[in-house]
Formats: sequence, structure tokens, C-alpha cells
Amino acid sequence: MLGYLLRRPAFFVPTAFIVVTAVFMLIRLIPGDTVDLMVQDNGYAESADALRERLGLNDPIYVQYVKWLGDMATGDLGTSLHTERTATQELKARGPVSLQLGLMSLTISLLIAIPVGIISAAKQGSLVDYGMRSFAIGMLAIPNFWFGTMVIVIPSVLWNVSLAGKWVPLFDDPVGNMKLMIFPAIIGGAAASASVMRMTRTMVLEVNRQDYIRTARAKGLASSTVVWRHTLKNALPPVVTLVGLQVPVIISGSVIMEQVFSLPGMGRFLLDNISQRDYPMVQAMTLLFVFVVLTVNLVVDLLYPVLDPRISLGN
Amino acid sequence: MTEASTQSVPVLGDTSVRISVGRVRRMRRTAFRFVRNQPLGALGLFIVAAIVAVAVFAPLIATHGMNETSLGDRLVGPSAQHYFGTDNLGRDQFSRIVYGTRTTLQVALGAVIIGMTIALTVGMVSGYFGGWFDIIVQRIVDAWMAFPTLILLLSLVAVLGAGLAQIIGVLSLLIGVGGIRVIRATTLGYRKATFIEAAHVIGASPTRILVRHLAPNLFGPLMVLTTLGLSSAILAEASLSFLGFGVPPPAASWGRMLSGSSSLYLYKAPWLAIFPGLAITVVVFGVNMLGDALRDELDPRMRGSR
Repeated sequence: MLGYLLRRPAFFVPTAFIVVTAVFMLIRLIPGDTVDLMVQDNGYAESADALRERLGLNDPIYVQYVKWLGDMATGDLGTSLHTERTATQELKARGPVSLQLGLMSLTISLLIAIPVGIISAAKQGSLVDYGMRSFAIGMLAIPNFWFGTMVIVIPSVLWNVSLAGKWVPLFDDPVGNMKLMIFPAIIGGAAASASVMRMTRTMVLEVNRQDYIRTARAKGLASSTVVWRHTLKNALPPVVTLVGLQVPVIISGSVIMEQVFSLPGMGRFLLDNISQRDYPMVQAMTLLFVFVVLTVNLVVDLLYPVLDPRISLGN
Repeated sequence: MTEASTQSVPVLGDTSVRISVGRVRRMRRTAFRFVRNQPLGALGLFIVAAIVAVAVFAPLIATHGMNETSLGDRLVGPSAQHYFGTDNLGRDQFSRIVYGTRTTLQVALGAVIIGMTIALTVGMVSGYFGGWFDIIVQRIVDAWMAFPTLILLLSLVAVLGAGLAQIIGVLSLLIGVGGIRVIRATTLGYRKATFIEAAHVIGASPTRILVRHLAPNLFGPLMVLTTLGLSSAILAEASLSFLGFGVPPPAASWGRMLSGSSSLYLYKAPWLAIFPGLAITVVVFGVNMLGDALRDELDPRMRGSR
């Protein structure tokens, strides 16, 4: 067990290393004329050369790289060209909004996906199964930004009700906050639920074909006992891995939901920074999002042997 | 004309007629079986064919010009003159959606063709030869997969700038890198197959083995990847355009029709929100249905994996 816990992060390190290097390259890919535009349109420095100096692009590339790694290691994620605020300050202000939205979306997607997947498998081939699968395929086809826009526009046109409003923090006004967050979370969650639902259905069907399920039924166990004690225990671990893979999907969805519902989170901040060509912030936000994904997947992998003891840890 | 050549013509003609009759009959049988086994897939195929037809014949179908403004007819609701209403500049929404199929297909097909080339080349080489190239490719794919799709697209477009070529390039990477895994896994499965070993034994070069013996066997997964890639490219292009980083004007893009200046008028003119989104949904639904059906028919191992 200990060996596994030590070895698993060993895969994390090279991936994280490539990710950090890729994000480092990002700002070095900016075409020269874009630097001129940054000076002209945004007044980030006196001249293009002064801006390059400010971005640290004038040093030899290996010096830049070592410096960047050192900054990352000490938690200095960069400073905004536009507001001169540090990425850490922005993270403190906006991180909680995105975290709340992401967690709510993930919870809702699982609350939809897992029961629906199980019911769909239990009633395979029935009208319920068919309807729920069509729902999943439909959810995969509907663009979330359109869904969000319609959810705002239609009540407003028909009943003059506005679902988007001025932002209030969770701890200042929980009810007002939930009113703003629940719809983006439901839309983001429903969109992400489709693939988990299909995976759950497939896994339950797969497990139900196994001999031990037939044995359990043959020895006269109640149907509910078979489902809870035998089927789900075997069918859910692979689904947990998929939940880890859903995190990037939820993040992508949240960026769009923050934009559609005007929520002051990190995704919307990223979009604003792209429009303002505030590249150090684009870099910092990208790196943060990727590290969330990497960390969640590491945790999922470490949890996996707990959920499924058949995974051998010795070798 | 010599005697020989006049004689050979009817013979050749006969053969080709016989072959084409056989082929048509076989194709008709395959098509019939596909419709019977996969009614939703057939519906998907129909939708995809219809969209391609709309894109090709756009100027004949559109009732107005793509960017033709008529200031007297601003924000007019759906009517016999403007099927889907008009926007704040008096542009006909129906015609813009019709022309939008061209943008959508251009981006999606371009991205899929380049992406599949990347996936096929890198995936086959990585899976067949293994070694350090394989290890490096796998680590890069791992790192790539850690980026949330939209964040990756946005960062790349932010740096490279928004333009048709950039969008196609970025989306082709998205589709290509995702496909490398599948192609590599399938290649690994075939590496020890008897026919590959036989080709090796008779002295075929590695290039010949990959191109002539392995590639034809990857047709199934490639078709499935292509349809999945098409639908994700269409959705990604629409999302990027919606966020203001997609294909720039004057091209008509479905995603951008929902954002920018027209988004200020959505409350006054809800039809501006309804139709472009509906167009995206129908197309993606059709492509997904076709993809699911192809997966069931061509590659049973991938069934239910998405």
C-alpha cells in the first residue's frame, strides 16, 4: 500500500513538469506585433522593448525558465499588467466563486447521473431506459451557452423574471447567493452528467452479466440486496475514475456559465484577461486550472485501491 | 482507330458495367441493413447529408444576402419574408444560419482532416515501434489531457490570435491528440497479429507494413473518431465564437450570433437566441447519432465508452 502511495505521484511529476513547461511557453508564443499592440492599445509600457523587459522576455530562455520555475515554487504566480494585482490576490477573491460553482455542478451531475444510470440499466430496453438514454444524448448535443442563455431569456420574456443579478457572496447572503448559483450549477451539472450516466449504465449491465450476481440471485437474496451489496460495489469504482475525468469538463462548463450568468469567478476573469492581452494573468489562470485537474486525478487514483481492493498494490 | 482498340472498348465497358451493378447492389444492401439496424444512425446520416447540401447550395437556399442589412426591418419577428426574423442590423437570420453551415463545416472538416492525420501518423508510429518515442508521446498526451478543453483552446487562441486558420489549427490539435490514444491502442492490438508478422517475414519495410497492412485495419476506429471529432469541433467552434474568440466577421458563425451586439437584444427579440442554438443542437445531435451507430456497427469494443 505504502509503495503504491509513493509510486503513484511518480507519474504525477513528469506530467506536471510537461504542463508547467507548456504553460511557460505560452507567453513566448506571442507574435511580435502583438507586443506592439499591447503597448499601443493598453499602454502596458513605454515601448515594446520596455514591455519585453517587464515580461522578462529579454533574458536568455534558460534563465527565464529557471526564474519561472523558482517563482512557481515560491507561490509567486505573476502580477497583472493591467491592475498590478498579483494572481494570488485575484485567486483569493475569485477562487471561491468558481470552486462553489464547480462543486455544485459536480454534485448535481452525480445526483442525476448515477441513479439514472442504475435505473436505466435495471430497466434495460424499456421505455424508461430509452427515454433516459435519449435525454443523455440530447444533453451532449445542446451547447451549454445556448441552454444558459435560454434559461435567462425565456423567463424574462414570458414572466419578466430575472435569474441573473448582482453577485452576493455565499456567507453574506446564502439565499441570494443560491438563487444566482443554482441555475448555472444545474445546467453545468446536467451537461456533464450525460457521459457519467452512460458509463454507469454500461458498468451495471456488465456486472449484472457476471456469475456471482446469478449466484446471489439464485440463493434467494432480495433484489435490493443484490443491487446494493453486489452490483454497485463492483460497478462504481470505474465510474469514480470517470468522475476524475469529468473535472476538466466541469471547469470548461463553468467558464461559460460564469460568462452567461455574469458570475465573478476565475473563468470570467480569464476571458477578461484574454481580451485585455494581460498575458501573465492568462498564464497564471491556465496553470491553476490544470493543477486542479492534476490534483483531483491524483486523489482519485490514490482512492481507487480503497474502493476496489482487487487492484493489486504490491506490483 | 485500329481493330484492336475498337474491339477492346465493348469488353471494357461490359466489365465496368457488371462491376458497378454488383457494387451498387452491395452498397444498397449495406445501406438497407444500416437503416434497419440503426434507425437513429440513419436519421443522423440524413441530418449530416442535409447540412452538407445546405452548405453547398447556400446561395440558392438563402432568401437574403449573408451580410445584407435592411435598416427598415430591424428586429422583426419570424414571418413569411424573414423565416427566423431579423437582428439589430436588419440582417435576415435564416440566411445567416444557412451561410453559417459553411463556416461550421469549413472549421469542423478542416480540423478533423488535419486532426485525423496527426492521430493516425503519431498513433501508429507510437504503437508499432514503441520505445522512447512512445514514452515521450504518451507523457505529452497525458499532460495535454490535463488541460480543460476550453481553457486550452482559449489560451492558444489568446496567444495565436483569432482567425479561421488559427481556429482550425487549434481544433485539429484538440481532435488529433485525443485520437492518438485510440489509434495507438488499436495498433498495439494488431502488432503481434499473424498478418503483420507475415508481412515482416517476407521483408516488407516498416513503412509498407504501416501503410498497406495496418492502416486499412484502423478504418473502424478512424470513422468513429472522425464523427466524434466532428461534433466536438462544431461545439468548440460555437463556444469559442460565443465567447468572442472564434472565426472573425464577416463570416457568419452560429456561436457568435448569440453573443456580441445581438446579445443585448435577446430580451426584445428572443428568436435571435432560439434559432442559432437550435441549428447547433440539430447538427451535433445528427453527427453524434451517426457516430454512435457507426461505433456499434464497426467497433463493438468501443460500445458505450462515452
